[in-house]
Amino acid sequence: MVSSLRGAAAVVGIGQLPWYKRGTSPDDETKMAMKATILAAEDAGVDVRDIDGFVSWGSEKNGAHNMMRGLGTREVRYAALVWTHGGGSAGAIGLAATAIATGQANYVAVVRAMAEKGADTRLRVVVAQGFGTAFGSVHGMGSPAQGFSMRASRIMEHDGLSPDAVWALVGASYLHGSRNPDAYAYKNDLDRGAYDKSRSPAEPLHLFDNSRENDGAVVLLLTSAERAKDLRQKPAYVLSSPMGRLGGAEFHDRVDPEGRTTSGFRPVAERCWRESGYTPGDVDVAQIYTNASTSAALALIDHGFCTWADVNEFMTIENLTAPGGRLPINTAGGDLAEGFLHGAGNNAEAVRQIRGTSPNQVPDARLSLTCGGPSDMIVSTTLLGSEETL
Amino acid sequence: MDYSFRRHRGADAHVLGDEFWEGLEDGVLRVSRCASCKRSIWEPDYRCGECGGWDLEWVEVPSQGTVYAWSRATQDLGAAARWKPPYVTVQVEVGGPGGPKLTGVLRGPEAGLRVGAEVSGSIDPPSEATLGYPALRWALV
Repeated sequence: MVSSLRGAAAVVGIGQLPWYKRGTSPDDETKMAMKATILAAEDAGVDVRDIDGFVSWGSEKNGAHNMMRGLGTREVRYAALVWTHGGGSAGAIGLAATAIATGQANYVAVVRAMAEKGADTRLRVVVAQGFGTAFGSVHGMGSPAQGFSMRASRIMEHDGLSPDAVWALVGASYLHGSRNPDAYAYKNDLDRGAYDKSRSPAEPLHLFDNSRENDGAVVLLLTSAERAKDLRQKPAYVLSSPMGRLGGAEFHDRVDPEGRTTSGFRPVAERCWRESGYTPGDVDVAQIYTNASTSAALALIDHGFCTWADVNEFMTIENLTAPGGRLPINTAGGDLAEGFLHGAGNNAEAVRQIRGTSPNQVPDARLSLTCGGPSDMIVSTTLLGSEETL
Repeated sequence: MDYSFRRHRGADAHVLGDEFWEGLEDGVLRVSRCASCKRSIWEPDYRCGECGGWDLEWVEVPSQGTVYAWSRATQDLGAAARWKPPYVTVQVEVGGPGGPKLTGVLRGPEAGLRVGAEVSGSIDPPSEATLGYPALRWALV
């Protein structure tokens, strides 16, 4: 079933501020969100005052209500948030597209900004508050890194993901990041030896398997396919953008029907392929939300880019890097090496690949995927396409 | 009985979890299940999504099981309870595959620690380091 959302809206603007080490941004996060919104409008060739929708995900606090006076907004017609943490990052694009396709708003900004200065919205803190109860905290569980390492032990020792495959995801992210002048890891490639020797806060994961939050701001601007044609940039059309999770399992049990750990993406990805009319093999490039490397590997499996039978052969640095890999991922460096803003950087990079302006461009990329929050309680994925994919 | 954990409840107390901690202070490992259809519901929840029952009951389970997953903290990671790093936290599946997964800190040697390893449980009495709560401990057998 092809959904009525398919091709109805497009990303027409990117506004992205430099990445900062956490706590070092000169501006507070609302000001950063406003600056990035203005950049996105300028990029698209839209008057910022005409933006009438503002959406985000998770713990974001910089909504329309905080920015509209300073932006000179004429009217807010749509203001909404996707639950829960990073899992909503790609779905926020779908939320914007839905508002546009149903006539609720004309120009919708997908906003994400964070600066530690004066803020209490660090994901690490929010996540710990959100699902860490005394059952965990009394028993020494204090950070998402521990939760991900706990799951990593299961994924590697029980489910069979190899350490080499995990390293390939990290290595590919750093290779791309080291070649991206805007990335936090620019000129800072990581080799296997340094990865293996790195201090680990929570084993069995290594230090470099974990995302670490930056201060930053990223805004995407969407409008209708019709309006997009007359704007400044090559449109990246939203082909499908589902969110959700399979029901039935116990709250902390995310296990596929074969008994292996799942990132929760399987039914969401299946809807993405059904709604878009494409298959995993058609995708040119993918941004895989990397809260932790092992969870991102599950996202590759659950999307159908590989299977449990061949994941350890599929996940090599060669296969995962631009320009010629089978599926280049995290081509700006991703959440590990570009900068971590709860997936916001991935969304922008997915658009750049369609435009042809990525720092690690996949030649003639037409289908570009970004997905949010593997292992989160709600996850989401978005397939963007160039005009010829409509 | 005057349970210690009740005097130390923090913001992260599970709203339906009191019987678990009462059990530990009484020296018994208890988990929740649906009072109507007896299906396991862990962690506790308001309602059984299978039969629609709104009531939980608490039943004793054997304090032995297998390691479902583990993590070794090598530094202070912000946990409210004060365990001295390095320490290993394990999730233990009790009562066979699909059974409740109960988190606790490993006691004793780590040799043989892996997913699937057999462990047996014991209970630490409430202490300042564990926020006035009792603590479930697991040891490799």
